Amino acid sequence: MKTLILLLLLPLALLWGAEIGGSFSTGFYWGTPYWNADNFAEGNSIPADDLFMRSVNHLRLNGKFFDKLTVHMHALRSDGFQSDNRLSETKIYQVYGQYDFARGMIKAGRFTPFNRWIRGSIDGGGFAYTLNKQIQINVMGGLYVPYGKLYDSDNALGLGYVDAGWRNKTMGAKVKVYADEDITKAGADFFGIWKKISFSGNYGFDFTNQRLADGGLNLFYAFNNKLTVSGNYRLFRSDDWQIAQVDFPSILIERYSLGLRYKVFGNYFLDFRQMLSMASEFNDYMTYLNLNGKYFHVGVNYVAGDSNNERIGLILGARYSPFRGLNLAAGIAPVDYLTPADEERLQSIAYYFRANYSFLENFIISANFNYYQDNRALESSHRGGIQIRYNFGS
Amino acid sequence: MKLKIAIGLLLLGLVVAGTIQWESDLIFSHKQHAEDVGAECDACHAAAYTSVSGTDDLLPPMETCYDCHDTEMACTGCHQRDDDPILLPRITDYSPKFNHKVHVENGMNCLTCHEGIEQQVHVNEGIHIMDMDGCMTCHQTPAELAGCYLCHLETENLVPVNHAESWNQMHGMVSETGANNCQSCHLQSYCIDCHQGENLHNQTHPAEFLATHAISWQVHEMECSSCHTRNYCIECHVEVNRVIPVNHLMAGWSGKEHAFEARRNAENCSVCHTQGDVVCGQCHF
Repeated sequence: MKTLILLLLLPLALLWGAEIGGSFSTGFYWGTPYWNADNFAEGNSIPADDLFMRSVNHLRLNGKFFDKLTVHMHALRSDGFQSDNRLSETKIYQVYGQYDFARGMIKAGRFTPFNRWIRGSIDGGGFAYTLNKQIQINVMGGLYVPYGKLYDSDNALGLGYVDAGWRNKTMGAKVKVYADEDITKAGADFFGIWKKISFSGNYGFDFTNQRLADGGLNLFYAFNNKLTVSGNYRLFRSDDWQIAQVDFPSILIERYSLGLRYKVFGNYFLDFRQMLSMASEFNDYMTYLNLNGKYFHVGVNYVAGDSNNERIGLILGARYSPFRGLNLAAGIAPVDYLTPADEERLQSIAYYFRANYSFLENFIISANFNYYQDNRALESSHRGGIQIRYNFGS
Repeated sequence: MKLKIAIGLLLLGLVVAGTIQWESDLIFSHKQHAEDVGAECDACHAAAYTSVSGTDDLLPPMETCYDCHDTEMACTGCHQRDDDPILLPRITDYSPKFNHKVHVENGMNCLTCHEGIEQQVHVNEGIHIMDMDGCMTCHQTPAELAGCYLCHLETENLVPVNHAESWNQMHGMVSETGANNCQSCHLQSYCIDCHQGENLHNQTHPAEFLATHAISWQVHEMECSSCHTRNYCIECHVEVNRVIPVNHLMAGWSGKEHAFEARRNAENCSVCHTQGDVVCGQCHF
């Protein structure tokens, strides 16, 4: 009930704003199960052969008041169609107010920081201040639910985050500190351009567990307007896992990636990428070769390595716009694979079709349909959806 | 072996790229002309003031130099190589929808976009053309793709060159360290569409991903937790289909086999057995 009142009051409040923008979409989707807090808590389950039909309404609103104050809202309402287990849920991702002043901003409410150390929404406040054009400080804090846990108040943790960054035209860096009720960590991010090489990276240390938290380095270089190369190193951790008598510590996972892109002509690009993933004592290799163009996409990928997984996949896709506003795409993706648990190789074929049509300047209809042949992952062999969206302002 | 092949291909790419020339041998200092001579931009680039298309060739022809310089001067006065000078590449592939005239008529100064050019002492291809970050200091990010086509051609590939094959893995770190770049094209709602896990248009993963996602998870091809909570896995694996992993049916699973798998990567176990469960408790509690 409180959610409903909030949903009704906030749009009304926003209507008083001098400038209002946003979008509203409504659509029907099927074939994909979806998480629901009530269902999970009560141990209900949907029959495996259910169509998983649901409707989803999506609202984004941005209101601007007196040039300095903005209010933002982003919410999603999902309603299932199962008669016995009508799974319905409202997710309010963001609803917050922000006041901008000459050197920064202050905001309060529920917001999503899009920070790799804070992946979900925070119920709290944030503050940013620019000392001059080159130095900026960000502070945020409040309650949040760690990733991997159900979103309810019992799982909420208090957290605080501060970073201070410096940047000029070609490079920048920031130091950051994060603390919640379980863990404290600190680190640094950096980025820049050196002799035409773009680089960015990060490093984080977990003080609570006295270990490396995460890290990485990205390099990108354009030899000319035809050939580019990128290198990527990423280090991250699995979560700790404990059951009563057994404690499995977190393990480090490292991933190296090397990518080459060659512009064949016009909008046609040939992409090659080689990845090496190292987890525990196992190395796995992933290779991708794709040719992307305005009208088609052809690709092959191959996975093999110590974990005894193997996959070779193809994709053949086409794109076409018969007239302005209408875009069509369709394709086929056969795959042959083997997992450690399988005695024989398995094959599957996926087909997809997508269409979107823009009309009356502010409306878009989107549709997608996927059909799976020899797929053992779901009982349903197809999934898809159709949606209409109205945009008003930005 | 596969790694060696990859390194070999990279080296080959470097060699090929090293043979490509992309710079002119022109000796030209904007700084000298602006500061010492006091030349205004329109002295050489008069056509820019009336240009209505980014495909217009607005670099001055060599004849323009002769408005001030002696036609009898040596080639080496302006070119490093007098025997075989490399002509400055013309820039005629900028967006046809870009209109210099409109910007000038709205009171824009040349240096607003071509910032710092008056301090440049060398000419290099393309270096004085502002990137899109610069455009977005005045222009707003469009909410829809149609808005992009106010400046770009509909036939144009709008995807930046660094959004290449490895972009899925790289974009998180890049966005956090240089976030303003993202906002040139994307509203924050674009991040939310994927990172809040809805994936309503089924475009986030390859088409066949439904069949092979377990492999992606096990070889760490992607970081599932960037978008999904573990509850998302449990939707199908426990709550809905009650899928039991095939290896749980193999001989010896209740003995050493499950311990071996757990030591290898306990993260796999903890996806379903989040806090241990009845099965674990039969022995481990």
